[in-house]
Amino acid sequence: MSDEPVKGFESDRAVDSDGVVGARWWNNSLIAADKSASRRGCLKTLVIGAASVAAFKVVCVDSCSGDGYDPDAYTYANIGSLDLQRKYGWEFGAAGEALVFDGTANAPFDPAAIAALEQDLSPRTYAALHVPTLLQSPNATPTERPAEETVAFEPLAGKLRPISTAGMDLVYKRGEALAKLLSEGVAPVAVVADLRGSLSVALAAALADAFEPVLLLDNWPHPQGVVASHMTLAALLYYQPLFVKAKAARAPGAMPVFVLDRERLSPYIDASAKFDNRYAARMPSPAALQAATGGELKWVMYVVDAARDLPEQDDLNDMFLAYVAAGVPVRAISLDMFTEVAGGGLGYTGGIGSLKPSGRETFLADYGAGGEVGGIGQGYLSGSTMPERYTPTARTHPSHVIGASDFATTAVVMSASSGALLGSRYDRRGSWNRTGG
Amino acid sequence: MDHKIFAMELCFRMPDTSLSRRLREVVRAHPKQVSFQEKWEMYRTVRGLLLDNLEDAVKGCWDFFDEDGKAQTDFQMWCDGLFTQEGARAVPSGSGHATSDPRYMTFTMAFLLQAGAPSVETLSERCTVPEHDLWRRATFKRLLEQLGYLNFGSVKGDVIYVIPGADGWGLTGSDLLLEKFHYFRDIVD
Repeated sequence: MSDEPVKGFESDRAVDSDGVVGARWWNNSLIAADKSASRRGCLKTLVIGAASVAAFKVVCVDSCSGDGYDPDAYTYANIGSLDLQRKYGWEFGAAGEALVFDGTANAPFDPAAIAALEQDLSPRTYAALHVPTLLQSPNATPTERPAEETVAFEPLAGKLRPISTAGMDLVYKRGEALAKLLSEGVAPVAVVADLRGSLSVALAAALADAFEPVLLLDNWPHPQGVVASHMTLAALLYYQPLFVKAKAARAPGAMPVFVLDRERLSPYIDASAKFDNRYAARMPSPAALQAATGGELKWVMYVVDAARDLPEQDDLNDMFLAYVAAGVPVRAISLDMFTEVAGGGLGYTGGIGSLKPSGRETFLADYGAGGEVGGIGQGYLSGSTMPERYTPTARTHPSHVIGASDFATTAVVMSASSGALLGSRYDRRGSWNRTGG
Repeated sequence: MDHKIFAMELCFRMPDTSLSRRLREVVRAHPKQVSFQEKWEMYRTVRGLLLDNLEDAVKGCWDFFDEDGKAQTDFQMWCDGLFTQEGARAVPSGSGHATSDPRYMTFTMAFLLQAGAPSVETLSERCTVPEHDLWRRATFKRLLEQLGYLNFGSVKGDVIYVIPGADGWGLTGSDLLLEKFHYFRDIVD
């Protein structure tokens, strides 16, 4: 009898159920040829021996059992999202996926302006407090690519464009009204803009003639990002000419406006559909802030979109309390306290439905010239519609967001044998996920 | 022997059950032991059905990898789609009764290929597709047509399966949103 296998295919497994019908076949000739080669390969591996236990295991299971896949070939880990992006590309695990932009921009745009963005937004006075992470993302190139990534890298710069939205326009106008109030008869104040990223940028743009923008935007965009920081970049591009002009004209000694993205701590549920590019704000310490302002700073104004956004976010609480302890009051204002006033335009009225007269007198009555009067000491009342009564209060519980062990990390898959990073654990293009779920 | 892998999965909207029935018949009729010629003819029938109905395909996915280890691992992954999760529904999706909600079917085929074989290398060249064309209907059509030139003497293993396995068990739009189908891409014209 001949040892030659019968030419053709033979099925080893079939399924016929209401859910699915199918089968697998193997080529007799190639299987026979491969088994012979595999036996030789395994003997060779045993002789080499010293490579590693894991490598040997994978080789034998994958090549010798005839049934292929070994889940132990993979190991899983959580790695800091920003570190992953810096090393493997801003679109880690989602290469080729599009960024979704809202809003429009009809103004002419020179893509070369993106290259100058980091320099244009670099503060003159407060460089030591500035966090330029987001500005570094457009032109960054990875040093490696995930082992299983098949899509070529494209720099973020090629995906960006300036964008404006109706929300940005409104914030800009309200910011102009705030700038006017802070320009006269008010002690030196640092502004902390904690709105959605693009809106904080719009506010900083409105204040830029008198306040130096200091970005605290410590992440990179991602197509599946929890934080839509590509919109923040698009807003920065939109206002870039204005920032450049204001920077040139701004008087020395201008106080800072810190630009935060309110989405930085946003909750999310589905790790398979989202990339955790969240981060905690790196507000300067009281000493660093006073040193940077030459000891001139008298108070801090925390700006949110609406009263519902108070009290301050978890990552600011400790530092705000430290400011207060250092003799720097922290007060809050919401932009919806600026509404249409008689004679046209926007003015400080204390909010929609407020019975207060509009204008500077009301503002000074609420906030004083240095944040020292008004609602200070009364504490912020939960659900209150009166941000002027806000003052930071110590939290009784630690933040469950920032304190989570997987905050700002991404689950990845690595080869158990080589340790090479293969890709995102939830990248459906990855072989480890082909049939998961 | 080094390996390569080619795999394709298509998801069709089902105006009726004729395509899924026909594909199930082809799969069930394919013998446990088959010659290379019979294998080629079975895929000719499959290709014809898929190409005739390609306009109804709404989502799809195809892979070609020429790295040996990945090819073997991926082939097993595609096989697991038949043997484990994909067909694991214990009850029909939706109400189990005919409704006006759209229903979907999927057809999957994967080939573990012998690297270096001429028809495999030709397929490899045809799978070099620009990023922006990866998920175009025309690309799926071209690759289906190229399968007609595959020499099954160079195919080490193949797996095919059809979901659903019975009328009334079609996938719902909600099913397609499940994580296990997230690798599907929308097919564009």
